[in-house]
Amino acid sequence: MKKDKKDKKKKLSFKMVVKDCAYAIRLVVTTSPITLLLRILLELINTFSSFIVGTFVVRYIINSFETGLDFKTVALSAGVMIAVPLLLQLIINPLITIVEDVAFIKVEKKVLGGLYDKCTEVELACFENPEFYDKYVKATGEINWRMWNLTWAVTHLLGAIVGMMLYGSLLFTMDPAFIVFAILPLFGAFIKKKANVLWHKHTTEDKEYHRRAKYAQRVFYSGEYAKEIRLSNAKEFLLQRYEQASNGRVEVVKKYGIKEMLLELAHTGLQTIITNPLAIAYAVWRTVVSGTLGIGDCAVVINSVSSLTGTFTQITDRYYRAHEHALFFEDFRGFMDYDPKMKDKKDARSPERGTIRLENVSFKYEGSDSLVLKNVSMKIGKNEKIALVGHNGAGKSTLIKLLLRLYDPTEGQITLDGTPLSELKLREYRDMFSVVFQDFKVISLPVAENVLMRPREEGDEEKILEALKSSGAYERIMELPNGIETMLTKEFDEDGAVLSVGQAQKVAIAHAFLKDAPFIILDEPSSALDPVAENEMYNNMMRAGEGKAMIFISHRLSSAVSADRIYMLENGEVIESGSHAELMALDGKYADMFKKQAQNYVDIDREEGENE
Amino acid sequence: MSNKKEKVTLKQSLKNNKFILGTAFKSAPGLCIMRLVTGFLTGLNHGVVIYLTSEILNALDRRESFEAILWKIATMAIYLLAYQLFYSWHWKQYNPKRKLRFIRDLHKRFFVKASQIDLSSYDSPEFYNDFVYSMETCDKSIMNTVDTLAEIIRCLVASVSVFSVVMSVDWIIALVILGFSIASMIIHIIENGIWYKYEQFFSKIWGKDWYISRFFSLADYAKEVRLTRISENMKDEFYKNKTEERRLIIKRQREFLVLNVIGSLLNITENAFIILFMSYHLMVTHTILIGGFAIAITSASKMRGMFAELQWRLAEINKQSVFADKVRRFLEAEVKIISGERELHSFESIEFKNVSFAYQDKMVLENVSFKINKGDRIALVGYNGAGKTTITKLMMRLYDTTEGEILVNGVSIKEYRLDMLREKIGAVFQDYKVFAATVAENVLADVYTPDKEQIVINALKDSTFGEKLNALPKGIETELTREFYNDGTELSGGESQKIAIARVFAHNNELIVMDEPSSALDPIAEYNLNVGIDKNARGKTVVFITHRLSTTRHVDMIYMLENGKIIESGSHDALIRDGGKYADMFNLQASKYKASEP
Repeated sequence: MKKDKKDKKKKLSFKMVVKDCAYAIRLVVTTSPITLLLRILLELINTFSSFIVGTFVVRYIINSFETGLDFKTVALSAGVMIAVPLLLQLIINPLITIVEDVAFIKVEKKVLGGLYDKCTEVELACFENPEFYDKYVKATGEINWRMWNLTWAVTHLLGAIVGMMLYGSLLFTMDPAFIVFAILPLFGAFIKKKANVLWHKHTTEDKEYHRRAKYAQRVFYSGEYAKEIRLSNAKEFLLQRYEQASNGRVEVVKKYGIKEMLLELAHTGLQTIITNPLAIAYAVWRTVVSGTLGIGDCAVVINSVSSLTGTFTQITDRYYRAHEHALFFEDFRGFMDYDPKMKDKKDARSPERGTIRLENVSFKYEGSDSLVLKNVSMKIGKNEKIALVGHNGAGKSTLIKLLLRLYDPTEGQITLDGTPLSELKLREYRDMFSVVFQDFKVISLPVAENVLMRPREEGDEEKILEALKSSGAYERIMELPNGIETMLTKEFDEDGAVLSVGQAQKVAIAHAFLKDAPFIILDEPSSALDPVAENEMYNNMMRAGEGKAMIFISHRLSSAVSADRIYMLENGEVIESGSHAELMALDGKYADMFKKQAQNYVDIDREEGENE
Repeated sequence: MSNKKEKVTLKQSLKNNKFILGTAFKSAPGLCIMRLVTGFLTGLNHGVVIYLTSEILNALDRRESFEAILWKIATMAIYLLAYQLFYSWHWKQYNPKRKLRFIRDLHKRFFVKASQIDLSSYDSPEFYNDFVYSMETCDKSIMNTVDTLAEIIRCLVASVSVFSVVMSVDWIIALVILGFSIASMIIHIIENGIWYKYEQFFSKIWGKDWYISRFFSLADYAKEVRLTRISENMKDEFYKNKTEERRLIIKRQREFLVLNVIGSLLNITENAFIILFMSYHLMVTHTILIGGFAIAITSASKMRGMFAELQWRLAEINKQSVFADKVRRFLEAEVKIISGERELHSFESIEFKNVSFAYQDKMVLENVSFKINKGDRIALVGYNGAGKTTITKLMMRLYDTTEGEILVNGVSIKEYRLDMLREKIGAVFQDYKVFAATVAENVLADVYTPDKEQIVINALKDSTFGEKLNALPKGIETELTREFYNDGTELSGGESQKIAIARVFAHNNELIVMDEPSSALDPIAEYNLNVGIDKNARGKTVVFITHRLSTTRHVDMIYMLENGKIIESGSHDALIRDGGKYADMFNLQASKYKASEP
């Protein structure tokens, strides 16, 4: 079923190609109609002038020469004939130079701006579902050049069609029989189509091997694996795998090479070896033997027969090029037309600070059969401190995502003071949370904006400084050359600052301080921090949560001790809940986990006591 | 920095290109020669076709017999068939196959080189960026240099052959065409200069564009984008960037405008001149035939095209030399860590004697001395960035000391064979990596043979991977990652770490280095892992680096580092008694557990 769909996709019907092309061109036209107009005009003038200069005038002069016309008359008419299209070119070329590139920007602004909005609007699942992501979101990076290439492919196609009409009508007026020679290359289109199918198969097979070969390159050339490579024999099987992949690529060429060669030969040969010589021979016969064709006409056929027959090949070539881009726009259109599943209902209400309840919530990711969360019930009251603990993969992070309404539960519901989340305004609901993710990323913007995480407003500076002080990042940030205006990362700025994990985390916590939202969610980093830094971070986080409801994912149980309530998760289920004291008294899994972790510290403590 | 590098002198550029061509010719002479031959023939083809066409036209003009003309047409058809046969064969058969083999051999050679160069080379961002980029693209770029040469040959041969055909018709017109072609080439060169001048500004803008596009379309930021209003900042950046691009474009296009007009004017003049001049000779002086008349017009546009191409191909050569320079620097990179001769059979002791180590002019270790004997268990503790990991890298001789020396069994580490030294050491790095290979290959870090099955399984069990292993479809032969197979298994961070640990267990190393081996594990897994380590490391020398000070209490010796110096050392009990920084650190961690203990 899925496969069928894919295959169908690869062969877009003519109608679909037209539709997709029209879509892309509409994007351009609605923003900058003048660009397209100039492009088409240029294309027409180019076709026209090469027809006039290369063919029409030559024919006119030779024919005049044969009929013995006066040189002055001929020179004057020929001059005018050449001058007109060339002068038009002279005007239109600079115009294009000025207008087109600027129009690019205008169109890019609109199309990319819309695309970025869409990326922001669709639900998180679109990013986390690999199938959807690969097909739609990832592909959007290509929109920029695709849009222009498609536009050009279409205008070129137009030029080729006009060229065909010009040459065709010239031929037809000389002798309708020439049409046969113009039509003959059409068979080339069938061969070309076959060759394209073959080439597509070839590249698809090659891609697989190529990707594998690339992997070996990455391992050997990037520094990440350098230590392992030097300390082990991993080199051996990697080389083996690289060799296999490379040989696979050679095999693919062997498999398709001969066929491709023959098809290419047939395709180009049909035109250059069969059609052209036949057309020339026919023209010569008409001139020399039957004497029914002027020598000028004959010369034109000989000299420009390849332009005549070539237009057909051009048309098919350009159509296939447009086709290739159309495939992309098919997906792009799909993405832009995608209706986000999480939208505010018409009567959505503004949320107010209150108690969040999870009622028998179950959840599974789309396309997956297994439940990540099973029948989870939970309460997060005003100003409560909630700790989520459990093994890796127990469902803690997913739970947070549901809480933030990045996903909706598969079963059960989440309510805020009794109102289901789906009836609240999404943006405002999420605005009630400050979140510090474990895998949070520094953004290549100034420090100030990394703290704000929103556009700047009047009087922000003080707030930022205040927040940085509270999170403990102030001193380090102030050491930077431009203080809070310092660009982070070296992505754009050679002098950009690169923060350590600990420092970056503090900037993220500063955001939480600044936002001052009623709920704060902290995903404690499990990465290696030294004990002093870890303790500092813990204290910072706790301070950020003062006077607020706070949910934190804790890896080191020591931080769960002070929570109002601890939820212990295992395989997506809440297996124990209660305060630290209650859970220790229960002597279940949490107690076991805690004791194992505490063992060494506490034992030592006792030994010390005994020693004293 | 990069700007400075881009400006390569002509001499240097030629030298660099010569080097790349030399490399290419040495590894694949057939491929390169055939590529150049193809360039030559393709160039020649232009002239031949024009010549054959003019022959037919002239025969027509001379009123030769139909049969005679037919022969000429047939000759042309046969010539074209032969040419096309060669062309298709070269591009669909010979070249792709040879090229792939060339790429394969080239990378294999470079892989070996890459695995030999000093680790410190990877740490210099400048070298590293250049290196990774140029290596990943080396196959394409080296072939590009050959291709460019072939295309230059093609342009030259085509120009010469077309020129000589026109010359045989009329020398004045030939020179006129040549003159105009050169003029338009000069315009292109100026245009190119303008492009080049603006390129560096634009590449900055495009780089930003690229980042913004990734910001929105990658999953990395998707959560933040939904939870905050940061996307508005980024969109703002996007608009600012576009405005800047627009400003630059307008500025650049203004410079282009004049050239553009001059170019068009040249085009008009040339076309008009050729047509009028030639028709004058055809009709009035009768010095040329129809054939000559027709080909002069075709030739003019061909020559112009060839010259335009020639100029950008030559510019290309200059650009490629920048890349060539990078490849050359890589191939000529001097390896400083050279293997010694002495064999190392067993590992008795390792001693650091006043070792200092500087890392890009920054002191990382200062005057560190200690000795580890066979069977010792030691722990390195301290703040992030104190130099702990560097010590272990020095032990493996991934770096050499800046000052002081390291003795293995009382002899300088530099005297031993590198392979034998590293063979004795097993390590779990903080940034452990899983290879796209089977579980077994990953554990062995070597080619897997069935007789090693039990070793692999035992190692995995001890690293607490056993449960997951049972769930894997093909057991230890399961493919990890989706790099190679779409049904490959992706492991979580914790699971990957267990694989890395199993790698150490599977090898009978005498010295084991564990750099934060449990950072990605949850408390239970960490506890079980410690049991596994105890079992596997019995009687072996072990160096732990850890922040969880609970694991350090059983070791023989703890070294506390601060700013590259050992500030405290001793057993856990002794250090606690001394009440120094280690004790502070330990108590800080322990306090939370202590407080809650009923």
